[in-house]
Amino acid sequence: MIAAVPDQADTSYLLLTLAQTTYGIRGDWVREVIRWREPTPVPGTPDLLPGIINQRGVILTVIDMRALLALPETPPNRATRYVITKNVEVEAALLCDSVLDLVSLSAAVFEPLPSSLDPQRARLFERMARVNDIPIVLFDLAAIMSTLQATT
Amino acid sequence: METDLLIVCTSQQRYAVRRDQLLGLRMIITAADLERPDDRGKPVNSVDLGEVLGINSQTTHRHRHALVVPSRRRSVLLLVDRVEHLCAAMEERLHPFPRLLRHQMERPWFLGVLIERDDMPVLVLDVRQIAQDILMKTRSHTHATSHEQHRQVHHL
Repeated sequence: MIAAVPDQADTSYLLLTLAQTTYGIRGDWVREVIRWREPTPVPGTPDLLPGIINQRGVILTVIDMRALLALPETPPNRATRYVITKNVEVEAALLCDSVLDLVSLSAAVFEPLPSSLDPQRARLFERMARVNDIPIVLFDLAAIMSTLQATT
Repeated sequence: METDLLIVCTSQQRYAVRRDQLLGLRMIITAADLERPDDRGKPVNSVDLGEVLGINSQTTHRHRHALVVPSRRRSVLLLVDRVEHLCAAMEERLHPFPRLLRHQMERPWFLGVLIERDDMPVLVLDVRQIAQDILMKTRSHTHATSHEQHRQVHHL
């Protein structure tokens, strides 16, 4: 587990994993974390949207975060989770390998994205952080949503 | 949506269909059942609903059911494995698709989402639209084939 780094200007992030890499998503975008269950597939939609789920009467689009990052597919297991997010008016269920913790990150731990990163992929991230020498890639949810809405 | 919904199952998925979009249901026991004209005496085309929707649909059922969807000149038989039950289309159980998904849907074949008893979302199909698209595709394929045959005969 990654320890929180206290600071006056901390920002909370939910840490999750995809293919053994740690990613973060801003805590104020996260509604809840729920266990995986089979989504209902919607024919004629891209593979990165494997279907819809119902969470307390709200129909949510599932976004396969592995598919979004062009990572290899893996079957769901006991650790697989949906991170329910809300950005502006768009709610979604982000499918990820596991969820680690909700932590506060101070300004001191943030780093810019490596310049070698593929620009197509880089636009999905806001920046990086390094805590206890573990790199954390921080998602930009607004950019992800606008990318998905633009991809038809 | 003021009509009852029929819950049907392909080999992989459950779907909801508006009852008022159907001419009727037909039990499919022999190949002849696929050829028989509809109740109006109009010819029929038959297709597997799961296949049309692009979800892998390899049925193991010997006896199947057909949703008879009327069109002006003919009907389309959409084959399913089971017809489960009829349910009231109560407004509180019907939902539009999430905005994010609406942007990504290739085909206008869905009317919304029904939350069923088990809380699983069930897609409400627009079977009239599906039938129209099937007939249009069949017609354009037939025209293309007859045009090609005509061209070959002319060439000879």
